[in-house]
Amino acid sequence: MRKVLLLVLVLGLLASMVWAGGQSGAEEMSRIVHFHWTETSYDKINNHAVELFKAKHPEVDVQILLLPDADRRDKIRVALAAKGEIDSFALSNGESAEFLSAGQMVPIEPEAFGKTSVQQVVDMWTPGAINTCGGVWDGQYYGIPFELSNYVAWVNVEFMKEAGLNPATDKPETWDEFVAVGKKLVKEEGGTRVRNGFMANSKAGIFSYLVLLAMMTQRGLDWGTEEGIVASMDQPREVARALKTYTDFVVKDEIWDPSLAEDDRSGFGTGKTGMFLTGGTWYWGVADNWEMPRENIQPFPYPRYPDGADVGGVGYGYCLYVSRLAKDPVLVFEWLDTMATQTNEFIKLGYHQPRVKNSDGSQALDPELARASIPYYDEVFKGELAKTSVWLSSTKGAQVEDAVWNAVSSVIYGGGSVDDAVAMLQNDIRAVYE
Amino acid sequence: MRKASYSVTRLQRHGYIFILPTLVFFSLFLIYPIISAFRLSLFEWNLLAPKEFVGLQNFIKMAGDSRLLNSYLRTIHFSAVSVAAINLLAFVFAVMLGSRLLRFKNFWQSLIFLPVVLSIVAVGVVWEFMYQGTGLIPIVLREIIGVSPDWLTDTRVAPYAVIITYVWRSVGYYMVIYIAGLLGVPESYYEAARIDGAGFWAQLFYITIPSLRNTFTLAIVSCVIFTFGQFSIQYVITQGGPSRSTEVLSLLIFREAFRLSKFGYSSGISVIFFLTLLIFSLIQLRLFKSGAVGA
Repeated sequence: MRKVLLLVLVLGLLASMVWAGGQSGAEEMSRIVHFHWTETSYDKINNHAVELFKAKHPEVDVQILLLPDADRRDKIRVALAAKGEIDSFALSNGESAEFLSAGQMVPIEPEAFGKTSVQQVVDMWTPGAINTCGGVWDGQYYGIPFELSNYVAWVNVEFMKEAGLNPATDKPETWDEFVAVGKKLVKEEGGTRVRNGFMANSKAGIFSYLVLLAMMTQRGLDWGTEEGIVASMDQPREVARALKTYTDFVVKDEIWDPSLAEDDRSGFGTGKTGMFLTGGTWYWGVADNWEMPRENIQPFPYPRYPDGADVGGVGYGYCLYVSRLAKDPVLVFEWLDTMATQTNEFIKLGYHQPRVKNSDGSQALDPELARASIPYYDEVFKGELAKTSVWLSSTKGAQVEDAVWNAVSSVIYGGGSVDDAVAMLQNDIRAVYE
Repeated sequence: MRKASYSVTRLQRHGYIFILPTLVFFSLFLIYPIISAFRLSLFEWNLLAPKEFVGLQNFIKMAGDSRLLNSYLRTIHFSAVSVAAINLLAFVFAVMLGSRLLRFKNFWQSLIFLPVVLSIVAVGVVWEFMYQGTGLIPIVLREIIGVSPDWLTDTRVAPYAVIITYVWRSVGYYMVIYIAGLLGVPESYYEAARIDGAGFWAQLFYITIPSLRNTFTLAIVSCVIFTFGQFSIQYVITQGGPSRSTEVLSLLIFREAFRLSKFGYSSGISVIFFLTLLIFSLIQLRLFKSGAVGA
């Protein structure tokens, strides 16, 4: 009797395991997991995309993993390496090359967008947008754009007035003028600096790298391609000139005291700096997080060298990709298409998505809404977007960025000379690509 | 007799069953990763593309890597200064709290121990604000002595900013160890010494310190091991900057792997890191076994 009971128990256990296995399999088939960065105001819109998608596909459960932007790339990398549950994700043009070269993404499936060719899908975004956002590899299209932006310069016009400057006529157009204005915006109280003329992020090297990338491009150097950046190391005088312009902000001109604050975006919003260089159209939305009224701040084109190229701040973007681990790539592309249809909701926050048409043929971005939502859209952003410097697309982009920040740090923190920093940069860049 | 022997064998078998869960846990989450790190150090891998076997290339590269040497020296500097300061302060506090003259002992003891239970990230963020140009520390220093260094942007000062924060957070833990050690010293020793006319310093150098040799060894060895592997404080306050002046080994391992995608090379540095701590632990074991330390 005991043996019969034991047998029944074992059989029952096995049956339940088989049933549970089938259930979990069924659940896996109907779930999409998307890795994205978190930004409180954007999260609401992205979560709304889940509702829109579920209205079309009630049998599919979509989960968005909202990650801090600093960790997003690493979490995606680990999930892919561990063959975890990751159907889709967002990467910037500075990050995507490494993933694309390793075959981690699936090419665009036109069927998911109700189209018959990839070109029809590509045409739903502004010309060249997928390229700028990093979604193309070896001539094949992988990603759909989710953001296209460019860095411009920002100034606090109230501080300008306080310093006796006229915001309408005195915004700097060259780097020398930038320094001159920066000096006037510096404020000290009782021997303690309480406001910088300019600041960048003092800990995260990526931002200094991107500003310097624009300066290098203005000096005629190609820092947008691997071949270009290696070749630029044979022009040390031009590299030194741009590096000196940037590091002099700290060591000679003293318009930037890195010890005052760490983050330039919050520093600008809280009045710890009069100017900064790493904000796009989206900064209007971010600036609302601080008490600084919108009318106190204005964007303006990146300063130029009088003898340099007419190039503005770096252009960048994010694409949405389908993971090679996706169980149903067509369905996941359909999800990403839904995610990328809320262009006009995002533009109200200043967040620019370069989508022209939706899959159903309706108009995507409303230019009038863009103008109304983004102050100085026509005067500054639109024109500068056509003159952006190109962010390096390389599998070793992070190493290049690290080498550049090392060179900058050696001057502004280590007290080294620009010539030594250039020599260090030459060695490091050549070592990265040897 | 036979029955007793059988029981012992059964008991031993039961013992293995009892330790099995812990053994499985440690094998999975400690021993396997250590072996994997050794294996991975022979490869080049970014987690995305297939691994490429490079033999000892990573170790050869390490020999000429100035960044690794810098981190190694920074780690030794950070560990040496921190361990010395923590143990000296912890011992002084323990002795002071053992004094009959001090009032409100529980209050002072709790106050010194409090930072130990605080989140290290919260501690780092708060101290970072205090070190900034308009933060509490520079303002107080300027009020008192008229000047203040650039705590987080001067390569000569930043390592000490991190050390001060780390010492502040850790000293309470080691103070408790020293207090426990002091409680083990028989009161009769001090009574006898006082009868013989010994003062405070004589009692300290001839009774307290010799009696605490085991405690000192335990505290210093564990402090070195924890400090050598310290990561969070540097990551939160300086991220290894300015100009790599606070880039300790654990931070370099993290950056090489997760920022620069060089997981093989990073594993190689982990192996060196592991061997350094292993050598230190073996020296410690030898000291204990030879009886050179304690009674």
